Amino acid sequence: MLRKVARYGLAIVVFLAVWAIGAAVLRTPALPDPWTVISQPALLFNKPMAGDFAVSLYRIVTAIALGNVLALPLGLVIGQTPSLDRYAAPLIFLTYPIPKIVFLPIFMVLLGLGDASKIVLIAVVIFFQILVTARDAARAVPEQSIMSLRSLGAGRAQIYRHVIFPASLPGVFTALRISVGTAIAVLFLAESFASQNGLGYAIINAWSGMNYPRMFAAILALAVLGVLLYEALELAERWACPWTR
Amino acid sequence: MDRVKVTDLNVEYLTGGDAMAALAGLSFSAEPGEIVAVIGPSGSGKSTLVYCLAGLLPPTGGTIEINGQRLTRVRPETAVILQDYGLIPWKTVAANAALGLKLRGEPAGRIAADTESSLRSFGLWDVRRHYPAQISGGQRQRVAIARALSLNPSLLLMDEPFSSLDALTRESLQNVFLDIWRRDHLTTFLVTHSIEEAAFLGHKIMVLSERPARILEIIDNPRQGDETFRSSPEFLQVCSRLRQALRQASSDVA
Repeated sequence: MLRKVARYGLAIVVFLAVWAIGAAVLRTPALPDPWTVISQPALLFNKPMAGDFAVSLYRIVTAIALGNVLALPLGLVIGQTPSLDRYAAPLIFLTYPIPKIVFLPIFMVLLGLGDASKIVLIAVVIFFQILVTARDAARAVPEQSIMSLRSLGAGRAQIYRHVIFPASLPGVFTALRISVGTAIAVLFLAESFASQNGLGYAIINAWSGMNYPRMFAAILALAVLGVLLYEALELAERWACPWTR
Repeated sequence: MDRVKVTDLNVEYLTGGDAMAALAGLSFSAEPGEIVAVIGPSGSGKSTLVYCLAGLLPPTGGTIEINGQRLTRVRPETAVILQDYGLIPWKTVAANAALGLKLRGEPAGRIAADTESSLRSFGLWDVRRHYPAQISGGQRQRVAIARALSLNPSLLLMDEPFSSLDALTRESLQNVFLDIWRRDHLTTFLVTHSIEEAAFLGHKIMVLSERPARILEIIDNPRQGDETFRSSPEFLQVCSRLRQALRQASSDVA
């Protein structure tokens, strides 16, 4: 734990150093030096920022949960059912590469400008990542593992619970780590259009007011949000997949 | 203990629309308490035979009768031990050993008590919280045996149970199996590709041909399981007879 804190400390030092060098070289108000930002606690820790942070965190966590709840069972069943997979696979491969951000206008029309449209958009991004991963994991479960459980008298539901679902978990966590980055990018985009709150909104709002220190404070908050999510995933994986340690 | 009678067993797989025969008309039987060793070239359909006897794979043709009853599905009195994938990697040794009882919905107290005594008797108590990847091959196979026996089977099917183990561990586990057999007299089918293992353990040794598998020979082996038999001239005779039969099995096709 202490080591981890120390490594984060080192990462922060390197990050700030690169930032400071960049600011010194460019000498533009668009890139204030890090000291200007972090020396003003009021810039980072204020009520609107806390509110934007909480809203963004809520949106992304809800979206991750929603995407997983829908995609995981579906992907596992598709992967385990060749007759279904024959029809589902082409559909997945056709829709998977489409950048899901293009659906934002549709979701805004259908779900309004509030949380729902943003959550659904991010959930769709997560959904496809997890669907593809879960399908592959379910297909890769060795036939012998399933036969072995059936020989002990397991029914279909028990096979999913004891073999297919746990077999998919390590892959699902890897996919989640990869998709958290995409999810934050999509969150930013979704919050930058016709939005009144969230860190994306805070960044765009500060930008349009040319308040660069405030903009970078919001960017830092977005980075902290990412770190929180990654570390939460790390903890969840250690708890859910103890056999991989 | 179970009496097994197999008549004209046929299995065909569909691969891309073509029917591929795996088993071609196998007929044999096992008396109650008999150990039948099944040996044949690799890929000859030995595992398919195990799946059929377990009720996991419905045959394309022919019948399997156990105690006069036609086998149509998995039966609780049959235990199966598969070569590599028998254990579940994400369950601890104790959870793996208890899995059969748990799937059957036995009360938790009974599962805990049964599992403890079985783990202790197999020398696995100290590693009960380990995962399969953290224990040796011999220990893993002990867990598989413990789990299979936890359901008090009367028919035991083993698909190459000892083949991935080093020679000494293999011999010690063969003796573990024999001790259990002497106590319970389980009717047993043991699939193996090891000539010595078949000759040491099987009352009857069934030699299969290349795919599609037919029975080439069934050899009686009355002195099986006797530790002095392992180093006797008769043992070598049985082995060389098996070797010859197997050589023929491969040259039939080549």
